Amino acid sequence: MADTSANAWRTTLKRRLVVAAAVFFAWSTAIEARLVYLQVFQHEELLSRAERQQMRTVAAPAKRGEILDRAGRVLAYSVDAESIYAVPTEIDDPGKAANALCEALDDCAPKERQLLSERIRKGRSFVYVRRQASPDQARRVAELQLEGVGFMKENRRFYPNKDLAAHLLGYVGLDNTGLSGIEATYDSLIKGHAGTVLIQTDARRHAFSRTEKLPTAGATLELTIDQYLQHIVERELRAGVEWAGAAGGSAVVMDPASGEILALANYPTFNPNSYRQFDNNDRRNRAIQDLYEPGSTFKIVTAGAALEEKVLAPDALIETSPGRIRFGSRVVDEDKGHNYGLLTFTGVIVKSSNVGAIKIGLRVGPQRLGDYVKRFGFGRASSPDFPGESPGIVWASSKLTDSAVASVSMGYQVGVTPLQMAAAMSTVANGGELLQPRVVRAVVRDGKRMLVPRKVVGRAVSTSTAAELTAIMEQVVEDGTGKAARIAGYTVAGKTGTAQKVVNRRYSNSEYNVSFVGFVPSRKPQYTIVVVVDSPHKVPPYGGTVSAPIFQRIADAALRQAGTAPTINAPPPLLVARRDDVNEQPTTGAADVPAIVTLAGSSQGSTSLFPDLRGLGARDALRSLTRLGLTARIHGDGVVVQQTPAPGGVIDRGSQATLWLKRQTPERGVNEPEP
Amino acid sequence: MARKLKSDRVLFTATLLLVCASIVMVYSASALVALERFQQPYLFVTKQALWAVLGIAVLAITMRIDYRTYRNEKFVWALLGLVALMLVGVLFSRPVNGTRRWFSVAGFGVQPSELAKIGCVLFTALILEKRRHRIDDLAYSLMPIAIVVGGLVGLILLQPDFGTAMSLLLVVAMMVFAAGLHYKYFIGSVLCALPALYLVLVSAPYRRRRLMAFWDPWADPLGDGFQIIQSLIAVGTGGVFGRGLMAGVQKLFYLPEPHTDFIFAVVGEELGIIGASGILICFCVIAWRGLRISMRAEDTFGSFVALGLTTMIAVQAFVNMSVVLGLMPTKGIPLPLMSFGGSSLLMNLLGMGVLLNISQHESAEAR
Repeated sequence: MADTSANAWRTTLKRRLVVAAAVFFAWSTAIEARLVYLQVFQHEELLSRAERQQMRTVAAPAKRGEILDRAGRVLAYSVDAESIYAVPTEIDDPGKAANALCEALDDCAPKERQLLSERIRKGRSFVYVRRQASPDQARRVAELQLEGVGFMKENRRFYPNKDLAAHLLGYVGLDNTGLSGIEATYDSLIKGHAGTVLIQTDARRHAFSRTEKLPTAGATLELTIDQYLQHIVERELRAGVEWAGAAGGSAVVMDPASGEILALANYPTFNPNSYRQFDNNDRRNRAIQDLYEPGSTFKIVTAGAALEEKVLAPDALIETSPGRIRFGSRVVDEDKGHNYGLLTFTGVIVKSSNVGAIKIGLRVGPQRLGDYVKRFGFGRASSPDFPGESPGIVWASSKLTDSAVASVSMGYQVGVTPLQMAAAMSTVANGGELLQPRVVRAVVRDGKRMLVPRKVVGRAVSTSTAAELTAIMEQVVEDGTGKAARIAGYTVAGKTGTAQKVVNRRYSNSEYNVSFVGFVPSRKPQYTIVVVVDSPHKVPPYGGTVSAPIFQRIADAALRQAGTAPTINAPPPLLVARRDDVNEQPTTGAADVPAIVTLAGSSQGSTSLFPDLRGLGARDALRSLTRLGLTARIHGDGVVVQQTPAPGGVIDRGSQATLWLKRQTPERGVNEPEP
Repeated sequence: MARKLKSDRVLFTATLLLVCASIVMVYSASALVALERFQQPYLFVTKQALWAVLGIAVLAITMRIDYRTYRNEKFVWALLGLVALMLVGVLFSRPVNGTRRWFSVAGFGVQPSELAKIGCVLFTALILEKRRHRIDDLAYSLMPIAIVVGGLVGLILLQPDFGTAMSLLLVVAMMVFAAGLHYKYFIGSVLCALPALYLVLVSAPYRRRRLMAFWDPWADPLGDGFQIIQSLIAVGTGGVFGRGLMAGVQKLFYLPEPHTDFIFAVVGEELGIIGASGILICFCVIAWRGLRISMRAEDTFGSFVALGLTTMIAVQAFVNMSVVLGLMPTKGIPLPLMSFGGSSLLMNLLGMGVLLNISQHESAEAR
């Protein structure tokens, strides 16, 4: 009985426990199914939800690449600057925090303090307290150890030479984006790639781990600019513009053989370190953005077309009497009412006869004139280095009427930029090739230096035409309108230009664009220089009076600085081929091999003899050395009594001379004032 | 009388595994929280380890005490008296998070409701053994249970600790069910309980809100849905292999109680579905071995005690995991043997010791 009772009890229990087991089994199956659902099927979605609440992504700015001049001197670099930010939700007392922050920043006005306090009070998740604070400010704020105040590194752009090459370099905004100039054009290259910092935060928004994807530093740009030359150009342009009482001016120095821009200056200028304090007039890169009617400098194009097309020979005679020419109701006069009478083709350019140029232009004809305007590079943006460049305004050949041909022949009714003019003049200087002007010499990235190749756009004129034009332009400087551009010891080719500005839709009789274009030394051109001055008022407004002297001073200083040997026994102005840039690969075959080569190689790098400096004062001795591109160490004062290397010794560029000086009765005018 | 002094090794292993996992996971879940709150990263894990050592010692002792020692009315009543006293006493303790559940004894929190479970299991087993033959005579068999258990549940509800009260009721119900109470009574009581449950839920707004949050946590993701959403996110981010031990993020103040009620979510996040399933399997093993012991127990008392203790662990574990996974509304129930909590761990290990002792006494006829 006990047994059966026990068995009955067990049977019931077993039956019920099986039910219980089934319940547990079903329950655990449900839990496992749910685990699979959440962890396998919902995994992605829940993970992204988790990341959304746990992760804060902060961009780690990449170090912006440096900008160097052609010799590796730094024109722009970036420094890490601490930006101070606040997380208002973590700040209990915004007023107190704002006060403390202002105290530490040390330079905030009561208004700024008020503003800061309000911004913190608004309870957004992120506000900047101060962007790109100075190291001292950052340190003082850090010392406060305020809850909810943080730091992040940002790039701050620094231009050590202040306004040097400001228009060319441009400037960078607070967000590390180039806003103008090279900084904007090559922004994507220089900027690098920002890394990211993934900050994992706990539910109270406290960061506890960071995963960093390192930023890639931006590329370093090596410009074609020569910092010293740039400085000279800026100095002379400023002096010239101020002397002439002009509204502004531009100057471009280009290497005619390579198309490299060696200097590009505008005045007025600005300091890119504090670009916001300057207005648009200061920041505008006139040399590439401003169109001007070139006036007589453009006659080179007309002449080039005529010579190339063999319409006229350089010694052809052209009658310019009676000093005026009529197109319907329009009468074009010679400048100042001259009547030059019978002129040679060369004389037309040398004297800058309007009537003569018009006659030449008419002989060339609209189709060919329009064609040559384009072949010299006018009417289209010349360089991808300047995205803001004006393409200029030129006539379509088919629309050129006689009157328009007349205007274009003497440089009116076309709009060009100083940069385009520099490229066109370089064409003459280098034997007829139109090269793309460029500012970037090389891009250095990941330890690799990639040279930007010379780029030939096309051939404007033949080498012989270029040589003929050079000869004409030399005469302009020798005994024409450009005498003010003469440089002792060097042959100079140039052309003046004076163009009435259009004011209120009429040609003004008081506002002129005066320019001088040319290249030196003309037989072995090293520099193509364009100087354009806008509206000179204090002096007679002519290219020959205002721009030519500026050109002269720039060219003189540049030649001296480069140590260019003076032109002695100048070779005939036939042609010139300077191929000293071995890194450059010719982009076109035949065009690069000039027909006639009278001079090859360069004086640079060659050796010359060391002068005898004994008896000279320190200043004169140094000037002599500078002319040779040398530097010297000086001991003592007075006049030179001893020198190494010895007089007549072989010198090497880049070596340093040592001079010993002693006080003695000066035999020559020591310390005479500079002329 | 068949008597084998061989206890259930599988059950013992599963228990030990869970306790070991508990120490690891409590450390992982609590280190940063402890560091932030008390500047001591090892605070919780040290306590848990101490309790675990104590608990395993207690398990080793109870494993060796013949379970029939407890088949003593005086002992059981004394125990119940002590439990009642503590449950009343705890109502005068300092509230923690708005509830009064713990005594503080020498820096360790003691939770009387944990002891209440053991007391109830023993008491119910005692009554059922004696009155099982007239189980369907409610006044005879169930009345004493209803009075005692009801009283204790009432005291626990005063703390308030709805989760523990419910699990206690479930444990007792399971024992009564196994004793053979007719199904009609269960159906009837469920029908009666529904309106009562509704009233209980409605009476405390926080319970209602929790219930609503369970239905649709995304409706109020920053309010009542927050806990469950954070828990789901934790489990979901774990994926198959998990983020790696200690590598979880959700425990950093996203999860409300990472080292106690939501430790399973931390397991899910850090050890993935593999780790979470491992824990689930351990509890399934405990349930299976527990039911097996209950079936094979030498006598009725052993059977019912075994069932009660097993259910106590299993029901709590399953409820906790269901809550973590959003299958049930949020309740403050820890995961037995895993969650941080000294008295809970101690009592559960004590229970397991008793269960292991019962496993040593197998009935020959039960095979």
